[in-house]
Amino acid sequence: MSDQEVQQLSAKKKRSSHQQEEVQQRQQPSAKKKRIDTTMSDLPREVLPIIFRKLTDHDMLVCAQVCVTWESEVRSILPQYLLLTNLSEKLGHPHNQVQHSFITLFNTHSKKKQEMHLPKLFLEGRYFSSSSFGWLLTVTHNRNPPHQVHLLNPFSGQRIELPPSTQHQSPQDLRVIMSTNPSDAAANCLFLAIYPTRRTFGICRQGQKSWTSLDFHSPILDVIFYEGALYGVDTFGYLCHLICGLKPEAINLNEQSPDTTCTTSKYLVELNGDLLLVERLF
Amino acid sequence: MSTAATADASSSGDTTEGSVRLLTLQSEDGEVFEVKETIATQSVTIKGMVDDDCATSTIPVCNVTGRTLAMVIEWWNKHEIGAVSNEKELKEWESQFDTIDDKSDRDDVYDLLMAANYLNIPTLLDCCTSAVAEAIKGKSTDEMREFFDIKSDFDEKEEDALRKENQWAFEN
Repeated sequence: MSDQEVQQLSAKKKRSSHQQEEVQQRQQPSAKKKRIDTTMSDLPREVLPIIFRKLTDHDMLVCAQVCVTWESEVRSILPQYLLLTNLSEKLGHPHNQVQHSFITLFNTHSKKKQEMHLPKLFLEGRYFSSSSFGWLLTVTHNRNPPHQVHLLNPFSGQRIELPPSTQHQSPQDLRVIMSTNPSDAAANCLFLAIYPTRRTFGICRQGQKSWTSLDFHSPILDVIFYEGALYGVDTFGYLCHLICGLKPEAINLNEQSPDTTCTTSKYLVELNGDLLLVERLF
Repeated sequence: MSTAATADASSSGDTTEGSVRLLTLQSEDGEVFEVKETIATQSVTIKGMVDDDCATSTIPVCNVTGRTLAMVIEWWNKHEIGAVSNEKELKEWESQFDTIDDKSDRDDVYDLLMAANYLNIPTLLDCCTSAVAEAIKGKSTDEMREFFDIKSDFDEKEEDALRKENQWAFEN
């Protein structure tokens, strides 16, 4: 394309004399200044996640340390992980002098396996399991309760101390789910402790010193936070809305008896925004 | 290529000759540009105004200077269907926007980014955000603050805690 054609394509400019005066007046103090003084801090917040999503995990973490706004934007788009291996067993060895160890995680955004260093302090004598929103649950392996309970974000390293657990015997007997992502402090996340073998529950908010136990007077097998409310499924396959007030209550939602074989393995799962009941038959 | 030349010839007049309408855009600092509607509607914001019949008088483009708006229009012209014959040539032309070598480049990219966001121009927004991401890569926190002129608003304790929290995951 010739220069002439390019010129024809480009826009025609015209400026009225009045506007020119105004511009000149405004530009007088710094005659050369042609731009509105913009910096990264003036960028609209919605642009930041677009930029951060184009970075590696490491660069994203460095960005989180630049300023308060960047930190909260990075935290809002943290990738989520599922735990693939639990290395706490291997660390129990007395001759193990390693200061850091790996856990293997599955990044649900990139669909890739990823190894991540964790300080020995966070690993030693602890059992790991997956919790909600990509957080990991760590529970100490003491012989007797109380057991220390923490939530650990494998990506940011953020650690949240939860009230100690006195109810469970083996660390596998405790699960914790959250109502929202606890990295968003403003959301006032609700933590629910589930003791599957005893079918009992405990609830607390961040910073509280103990779990408030909940008895729904119903054989609840699995629970899930879905669209801001807590739902459970009982051994008969009834879906119930769980009320966690002063008087905990399970309100049955099924009108008819559900068409289900009475198995002990029933799970509530959120998939693409829908709430599903999954049964394991064998 | 020939198609583009023909389309161009039919609209080369000063008025709305043929079927191509001209839109009048006015920058923050008062510069006025006349742009073909077919080109300006690469902006989702402007397309919305045209569809709603709100683009009949001068369209004010707030927060965008004449200098930046001229760059945006250049971008539209290059990205009009048929304006550039092949993808490779377009990518080569775009490469002037997707790297930030110094603070003057940085300021241009900021201005374009603000304009791309305000006018909602997906191709330009993608290019500018990539440029910023590229500039972030490999920099330390302090280098980023220096390069992007950002003051830390953490208190000392918070910053220490963050450094400890965030760094171990990638240390050996």
